[in-house]
Amino acid sequence: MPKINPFIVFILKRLGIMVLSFFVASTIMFLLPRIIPGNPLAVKVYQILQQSASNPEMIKSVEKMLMDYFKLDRPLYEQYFDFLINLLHGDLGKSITYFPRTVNEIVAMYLPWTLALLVPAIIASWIVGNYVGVIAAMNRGKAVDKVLLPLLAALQGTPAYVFGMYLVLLAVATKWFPASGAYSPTAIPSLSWSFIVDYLHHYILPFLSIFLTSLGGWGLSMRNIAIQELSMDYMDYARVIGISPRKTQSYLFRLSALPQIVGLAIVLGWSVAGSIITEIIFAYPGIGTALWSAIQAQDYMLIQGYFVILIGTILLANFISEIIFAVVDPRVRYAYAGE
Amino acid sequence: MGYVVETIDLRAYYMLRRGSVKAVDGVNLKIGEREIVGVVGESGCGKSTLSRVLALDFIPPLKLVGGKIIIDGEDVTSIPISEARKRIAGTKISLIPQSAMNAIIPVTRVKDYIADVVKEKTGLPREKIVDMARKRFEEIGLPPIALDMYPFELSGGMRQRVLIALATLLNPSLLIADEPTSALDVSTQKMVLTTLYNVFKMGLTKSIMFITHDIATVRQIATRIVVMYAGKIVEDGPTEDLIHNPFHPYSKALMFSILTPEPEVRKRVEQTGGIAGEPPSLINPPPGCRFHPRCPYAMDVCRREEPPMIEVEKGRFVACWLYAKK
Amino acid sequence: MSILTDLFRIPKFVAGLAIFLTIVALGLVGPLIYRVSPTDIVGPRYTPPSPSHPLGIDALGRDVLAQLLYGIRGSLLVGAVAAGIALGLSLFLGTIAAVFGGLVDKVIMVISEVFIIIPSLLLMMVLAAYLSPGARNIWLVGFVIGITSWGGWARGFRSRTMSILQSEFIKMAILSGASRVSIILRDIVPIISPYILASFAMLFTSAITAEVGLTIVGVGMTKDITLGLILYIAQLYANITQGIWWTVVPPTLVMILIYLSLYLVAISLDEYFSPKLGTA
Ligand SMILES: Nc1ncnc2c1ncn2[C@@H]1O[C@H](COP(=O)(O)OP(=O)(O)OP(=O)(O)O)[C@@H](O)[C@H]1O
Ligand code: SF4
Ligand SMILES: [Mg+2]
Repeated sequence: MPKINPFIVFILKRLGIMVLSFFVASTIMFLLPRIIPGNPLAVKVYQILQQSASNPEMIKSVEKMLMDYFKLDRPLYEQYFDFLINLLHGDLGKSITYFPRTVNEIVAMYLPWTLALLVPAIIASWIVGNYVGVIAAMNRGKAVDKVLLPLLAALQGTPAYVFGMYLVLLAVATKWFPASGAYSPTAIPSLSWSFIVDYLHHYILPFLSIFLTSLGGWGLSMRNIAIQELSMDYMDYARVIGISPRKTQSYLFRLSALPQIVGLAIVLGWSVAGSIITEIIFAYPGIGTALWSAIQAQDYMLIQGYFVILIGTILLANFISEIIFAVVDPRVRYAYAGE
Repeated sequence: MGYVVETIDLRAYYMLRRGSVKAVDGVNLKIGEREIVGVVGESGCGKSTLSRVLALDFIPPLKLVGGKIIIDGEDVTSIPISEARKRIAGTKISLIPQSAMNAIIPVTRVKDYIADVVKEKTGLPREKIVDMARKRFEEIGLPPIALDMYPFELSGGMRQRVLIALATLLNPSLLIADEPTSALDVSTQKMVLTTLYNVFKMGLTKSIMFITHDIATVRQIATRIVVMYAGKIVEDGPTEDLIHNPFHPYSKALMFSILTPEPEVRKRVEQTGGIAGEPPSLINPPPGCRFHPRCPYAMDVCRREEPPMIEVEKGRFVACWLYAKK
Repeated sequence: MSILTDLFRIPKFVAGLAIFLTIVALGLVGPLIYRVSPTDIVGPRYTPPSPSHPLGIDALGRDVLAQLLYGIRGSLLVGAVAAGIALGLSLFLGTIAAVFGGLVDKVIMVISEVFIIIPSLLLMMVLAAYLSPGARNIWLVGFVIGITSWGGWARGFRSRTMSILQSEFIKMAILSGASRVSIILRDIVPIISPYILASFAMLFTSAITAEVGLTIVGVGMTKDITLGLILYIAQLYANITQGIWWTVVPPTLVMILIYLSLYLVAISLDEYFSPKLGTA
């Protein structure tokens, strides 16, 4: 009798949870400004219109856009329906402060900077952290481990932005590195040699602060996983049958890195949201800093857009990581394909 | 004829803070070519420890405290252990440890694992090793398809048999199997025993040391039985002679348990480890004969002095004052 | 109380508790001893630390030590409110899910999963961004943090409860007709109390960190002084890039110390009560 493949059931379940989460998140986002007493959204929209009274022409168009987008005069359920339709079409509306540019355009402008900072920093910390974690696990209880363990715990416990603050203070005191921005105020972004050098010079501190703090997390989780693996029968047998320690270490790395791949996907998804404060500290021109200025300027269109995108990224990363886990680890794959 | 393994007054203890566990304490054991030696004894008497020591697998806190291990005529305890291990592990002595149900790394296919293991020892190309393994699987009656599977796709019995094939791939002198059948059901046990016997008969290993607490199993294939008690060998002789006419009081109690037909008696006996009373502490073992607190025949001398191992009949050794002339 | 005497023999626990209690004492008693108002302008801005102002003066001419002491008090309050709410929710939902099972369990698990997947920092930002700045006081921010961070712990409580439900004496209690609520209160809560304590400690420190994050981003505290507000002002006036370390280092140092001390307490509780983890 043909039964539905449990693997597909699993994927559908995860997909369901993801869609549900996105639905819940966007509903919260929709409802909050509208149900809080005094309807802050309407008040805000009105205020913004009042404040930007310099160019009457532009106010007209901003006003029209906001009315079109929010339809505050319509019943709540209609607004909600519209909101969802817009989301599904990927239409996040237009920014108030950057009018008439769309939210999508503005995100596209800042996102590459954020990714250029985060992806290398997180992948580098993943690799080094896994390596350090395996070393700590293989030397459990010995001096190496006794030094590494508290160090990793302290790194993990310190928020990246605190590191960032200390690094900036250090940079200011020593003048070794520029303390803010992604490039010198006088430089013009281009692919020229001098710009790249300038960029890298600015890059080092924010990179370090993200690299070091995520290093702690990777190292600790890798150590835990590897210690569990070390107590398994197969690690004992590997030694008994005389597999060299080097080969054993590579097995251990492979076994323990599998769950860590899942972690990598999740963390990459989270990192954009997680590094908002770090970017602010370094005045690094990425999504985080942009979100901060949007909050300062109370550009609700942008704020809403960033939230949708950040939550969407995280949910997607979560979903992908679960699928990766099931596909990459033969044990899990077998469990789902089983019987 | 030479011995594949010979130990002389072998001592290996677990060094704990509250004292040393004397799990192998003065063992003299000779295993010749073409022998299947069954090692029996109650739980905790040091069987697994002995197997680890013979494979030179010393994991802290286990430590070699004294004595010699001679493998194929070479005293391997006179060279650094890591050095010796490199030379003998998997090639001269191949151990299949107790609870080796999940012994193969779960993220590799069986053939890749075998290739990894053998390549490190021989330097042969991978395809050649896999071919070798395939041929070997066929010879001893394993479906070669198992090579392409992941270990968790194999049944418990198949895993044990794959391990036997892997352990004998390089034709070791001695294969040590520690409780290879105890986690399996009866019909699967038979298959594993058959595979073990096949690798012996075909000369893929010169000899086998078979560790078990189940005398009924070991009886089916062993040529000789060694009885361990509290870290020492107390009796050693041909299988059927020893089972039907055990000399040592401890062996007597042990054999009684399998020769008793009534299930109730058997059950009671098995639950108590065959003999009334507690197994002795291995940190502070009783002086003299270690069995004396539980022995119905214990005499004064037993409490004072350790009985020597003597050959009572041809090929039958026992360490008990009842047989030694003092 | 032999458990307490046992715990006091663990150096990690004693050290963690001592550091934490010192910080609590600073927040509670500090302002009574160091009687300088945190909001008064006491001198020229950015005066470095000196005997009269041990931690210097901030961007608005206020005494940093006074700010710090009140900030500790405020942050501890946020932590307590948030951790109390999150603990209450997660303990309630986790144990209920385990004891009642079935549909109740399924629904609670899906909700908690949604709350785990949606990052609480973002959820908090959404919640806080739309609250008018004047309304964002300690209680409200604590509340916002509390209701967004219970998901993972609810799962923890659920699985611990599940394993206790397997034990014989609980089965006896169920057979003898005890109500499920009384089983939770009388049998389960006492057994998992160390885990409850440990989770409270971790919730507490992550709430303090979350408040700092929210406030720096600009959706947190506006008037009530917390560690976050001190850092927000420092960030707003670009103190860090000017090298004004005395408004930045003290509050962050306190944050790290709170984390480390509660982390030590939590892991020693965990190690003490689940020996499997403890044996090296
Ligand atoms: N890692 C260890 N550390 C300390 N003591 C140990 C260790 N491993 C085994 N022992 C002790 O050494 C003694 C012998 O153990 P061993 O495993 O060799 O017994 P065994 O005869 O194989 O028993 P079983 O039939 O249960 O497998 C036991 O008293 C055991 O408690
Ligand atoms: S030596 Fe004595 S105590 Fe030991 S077995 Fe023989 S008779 Fe019993
Ligand atoms: Mg054993």
